[in-house]
Amino acid sequence: MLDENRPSPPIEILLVEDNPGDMRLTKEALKEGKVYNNLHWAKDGVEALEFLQREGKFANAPRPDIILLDLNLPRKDGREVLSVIKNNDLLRNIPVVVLTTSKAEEDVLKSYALHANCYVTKPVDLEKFIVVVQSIDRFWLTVVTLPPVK
Amino acid sequence: MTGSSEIGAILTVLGSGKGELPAQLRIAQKLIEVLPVPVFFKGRDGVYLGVNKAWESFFGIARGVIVGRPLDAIYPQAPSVAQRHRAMDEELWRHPGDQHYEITVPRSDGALRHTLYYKATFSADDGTVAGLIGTIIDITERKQAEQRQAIEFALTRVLAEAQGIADAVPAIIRSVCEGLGWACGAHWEIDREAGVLRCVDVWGEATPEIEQFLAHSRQRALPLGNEGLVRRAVATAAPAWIPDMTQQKGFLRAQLAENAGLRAGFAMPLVSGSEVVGVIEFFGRETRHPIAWLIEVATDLGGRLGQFVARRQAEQALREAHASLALKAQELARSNAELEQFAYVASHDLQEPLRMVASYTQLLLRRYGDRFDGDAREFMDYVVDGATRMKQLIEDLLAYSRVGTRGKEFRRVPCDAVLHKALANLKIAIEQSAATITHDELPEVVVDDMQWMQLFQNLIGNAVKFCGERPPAVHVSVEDRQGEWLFGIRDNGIGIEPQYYERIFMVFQRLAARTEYPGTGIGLAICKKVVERHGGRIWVESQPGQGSAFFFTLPKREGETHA
Repeated sequence: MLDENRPSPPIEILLVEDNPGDMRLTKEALKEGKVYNNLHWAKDGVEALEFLQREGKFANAPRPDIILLDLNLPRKDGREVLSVIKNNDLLRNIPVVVLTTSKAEEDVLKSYALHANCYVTKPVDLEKFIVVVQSIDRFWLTVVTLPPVK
Repeated sequence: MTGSSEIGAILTVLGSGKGELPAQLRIAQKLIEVLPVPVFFKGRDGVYLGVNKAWESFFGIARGVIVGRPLDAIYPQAPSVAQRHRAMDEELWRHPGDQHYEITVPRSDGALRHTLYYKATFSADDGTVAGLIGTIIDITERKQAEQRQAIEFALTRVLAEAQGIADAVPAIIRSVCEGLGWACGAHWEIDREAGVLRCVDVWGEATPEIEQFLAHSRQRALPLGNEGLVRRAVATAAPAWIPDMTQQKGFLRAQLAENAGLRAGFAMPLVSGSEVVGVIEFFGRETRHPIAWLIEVATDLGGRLGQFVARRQAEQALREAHASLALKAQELARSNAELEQFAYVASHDLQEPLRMVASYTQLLLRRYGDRFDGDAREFMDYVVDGATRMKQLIEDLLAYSRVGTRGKEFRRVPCDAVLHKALANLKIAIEQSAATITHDELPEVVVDDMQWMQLFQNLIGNAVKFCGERPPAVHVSVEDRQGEWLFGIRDNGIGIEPQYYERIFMVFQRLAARTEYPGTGIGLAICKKVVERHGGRIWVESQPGQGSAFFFTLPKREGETHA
C-alpha cells in the first residue's frame, strides 16, 4: 500500500493517439481529474515503439507507468503495438489501457484476445471521461500492486 | 413326246386360258388357276408365257398385259427390282434346277410386298432348258411383324436405358431406321415464342449426302405451319407420312432430300397431354406408303417420349427458376450485408467528430461556464443535448446493424432462463413502476440467446414504459402451434392506434413525445430483426387506452419439446 500523504512522483503516461483533439482532451481530463502526471504523446504506432525502445528523438524517454493505446492508428496500428509490447520482456509489465470508440468495437476486440489490461470506451460525456481517467489513475497506480520495474 | 416349242404352246394355253388342251392337262390348268398363290411361266427368252389368277390379283396386272412381254413390264417404276429378277433368272439358266430368294417388290399401286420367289427350270425332251415356272409367297405380314417386333424391342431397350431424352432420341432414330432400312432422322423441338421448329438432334447413315442433308437440317429453323412433314405432324398432333418427298408440295427441303437420294418421310409428334412438344422425323431412300403398324407404334412412342420431353422441360424450367431465385437471394443477402456493414462503419466513424463536439462543449462549460450568461448556457445545453442524443442514435443504429452482422449461432436454451435474464436487466424499471410480470410455462427453444433476451427485454421494457396511469401488468404467453411457437406479450398500457401497427417496427419511428417517453425508437426495429433472423414474424394487436399485445412466432427446430 502506498502512503497517500507521501508526495509521489508524477505518473509517466504514454498516450498513443492520432487525433490531436483526443490527445488534448485526455490532457485536460487528467488536469480536471487532478492526476499528477507527465503525459507523453505518440501520434502513431511507429512513434510509440520508438518511444518505448528509446530510439531516435526518444533516446531519453522515461519508461511509462501506463500506456493509453488507441487502436486505429496510421502506419502501425494499435494491435501491432500491443503485440510487440506483450512479447517484449522489458515492456510486458506496463499496463495497457485500450481506448475504443464504441462498445461494439470493444466486444469485437475482446474476441481477439490481445492481452490488453483493460478496455475503455471513449465517452462522449466529458464528465464520464474524467471519471474514467481518474479511475485509471486510481486503479492502476494505487489499488493494483504492480510488478516492480526491472 | 413334245419339243420345247410344244411345251411353250401348252404353257401359253395354261397361262392364258385360251386354246384347247388334252383332258389331263385341262385338270392341271384348272389346278394352277385356282391355286391361291401367284404362279408364272417364262420362256428361255425371259418373256412371260402365262400367269395364274392369283398372280393377277397380287400385282394388280391383267395377264393380257404381261403375257408375251419381259419382266420390265411389271416394274416400270422399279428398275432395280427388275434387274435383280433378271440376274436371278440368268443364274438359273446357267445352273438349271431350282432356286429361291427373298425380294421386296412393288405392286402396280406402288405398295411394297416382301416376297419369297421359288423358281424351277423345265426342259424339253432333248434336255435343253425350255423355260421356268415360278411361284411367289407373300411374306409381307410376317416380315412386318418381325420388323415391328425388332423395332419395338429396340425402342423398349432404348427407353429403359436412356438417362434422358437427349441420349434417347438418337438411339430411337437409329433403332427405327435400322429396323426399317431407312437412312436418317432428326429431332425437332418447338420454340413457340419464336414460332419456329429447331432441329436439336440427328442420326443418319455415314454417307456424305446424308450428312449434308442432316447438317442443313441442324442449321435450319422451320416456321410453324401445316404443310411439309414435321410441321404437319405438329399441326395435327398425329404422325405424318410422305411417300415421296421430292413430289410433295410444301416440303421445304424437297431439293435437299432429292440431292441426298431420300424419298419417303415419316414424322412422329412427341405429345404431352394434348400439347406437341417436339417431333422426330425419319427418311428412307425409297418411295414408301404409310405403314399402319409403324404409325401405331409411333403414336404410342410419341406419347411416352412427349412425357419425357415435358418432364425435362419442366425440370429445366424449375432448375432455372431455382437458379434465378438462388441468385436473387444471394444478391439480397449481399446487399443486406453491405448495408449492415455500411451502417456499422458509418455509425462508428460518426462517433469520432461527435465526441469532439460534445467533449469540448462540456470542457468549455466546465472551464468557462461561470463567465457565460444565461442565454449562452442554454445554447450550450442544447449543443450538449443534441450531441448526446446523436451519440445514442448512432449507438442504436450500431446495435441494429449488429443483429445481422454479429449474431451468434442458435443453441437450445430454456426460454424461462432467457426471460429471467431480461427481467433482471429491467429490474429498476419494473420496481419503479410497480409492474407485475407473469408468464406461462415456457418451452425450451433453439435461438441466439443474447438476441432472444434482447427481444424480451425490449418488448417487456416497452410494456412497462408505455404504461399510462395504471401500474403495468404484463403477461408473457406461449402457444404450441404446429411447427412453431407463438409468443405473446400483453400489457395494460396506453395502446397503439391501428394506423401505426406497421410503422412502429421501423427504425427510429416514435409515436410518443420524447419529453413523455424517452427513447430513439430503435427497440421494436431490433425486435423485428431478431424475430426475422430466427425465421419468425412479429406483429401487434392493440386497443388504444386498454393495452397492447405483441405477438411473435418462432419456427421449431430439431429436438424441441414443451418444457
